[in-house]
Amino acid sequence: MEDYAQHKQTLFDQEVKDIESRLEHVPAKYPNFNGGIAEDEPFQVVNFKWKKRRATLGDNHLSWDEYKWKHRFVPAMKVHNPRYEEYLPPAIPPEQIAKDNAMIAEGIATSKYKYRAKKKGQPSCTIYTNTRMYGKR
Amino acid sequence: MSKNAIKFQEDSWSTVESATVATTPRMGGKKVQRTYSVCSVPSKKFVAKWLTVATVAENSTSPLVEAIDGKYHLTGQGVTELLQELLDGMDIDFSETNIISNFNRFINKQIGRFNSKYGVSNDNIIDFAMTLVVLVNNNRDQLTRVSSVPVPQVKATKGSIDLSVL
Repeated sequence: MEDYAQHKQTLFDQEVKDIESRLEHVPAKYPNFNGGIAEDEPFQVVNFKWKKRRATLGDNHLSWDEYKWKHRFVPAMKVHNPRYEEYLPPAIPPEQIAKDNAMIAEGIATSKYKYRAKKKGQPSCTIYTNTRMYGKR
Repeated sequence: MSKNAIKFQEDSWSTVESATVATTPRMGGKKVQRTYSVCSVPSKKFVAKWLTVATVAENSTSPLVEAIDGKYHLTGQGVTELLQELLDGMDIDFSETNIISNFNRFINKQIGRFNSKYGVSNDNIIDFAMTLVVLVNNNRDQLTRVSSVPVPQVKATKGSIDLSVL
């Protein structure tokens, strides 16, 4: 337990050091801060530069605590969990998919209207099958 | 009155004469300015430390703050370190005052602010530092005012004491 507290303290100190290195003073960028100092005055205004971090390594070398620390600002990712598989809809077997695709292909190939595609220079042809509503075409 | 800019020293606390500090208590709200004849300015290290506490996700990894019933409180270590730093930096012993409750409120507010969508923007971080300055100076002023002003005489309330029982 003590080891854990010590570890926590070390991580915290490390982060303090990191943040401290990112705090900077720069010449007046925000004239409204610090009580409205005019821009041409040679005063300085506090500005903290917040740099973006870059991941240079993978996470495999990290312990669980270090991993959590590294990803503390990253929202949790959705992971597939086999435990909840029974609540998911059953997957369609690949044979069924192949069969369906074959049927669709066959239907397109033997279609009554397969030659009625758009010809060059003609407006696109709309096929209406409901003759009662639209009349003969 | 001339205005002096606040600059945080690396390791030591400093004082700035007749400094005006502007803070934004509500996000997107108006700025509030306070002027101090003598303004105590914490060290950069102090600001970085409490900035870390406020920005660490879920604050579970910071040993200085713990969450109880959805609110954040300073731990025993946090209280000790804060009071010791204030004693070292400002030479004032705050242990008998209500600075801890003020600081708890401050930390809660800032954690909420840093967890929002644009939490770690530069403006928020500047405002954090300035609010910290205001907090420390207000508490110091309160302490000096309380010790310098005599306690007002309170008038007796209406009513009489029944002496017949004696």
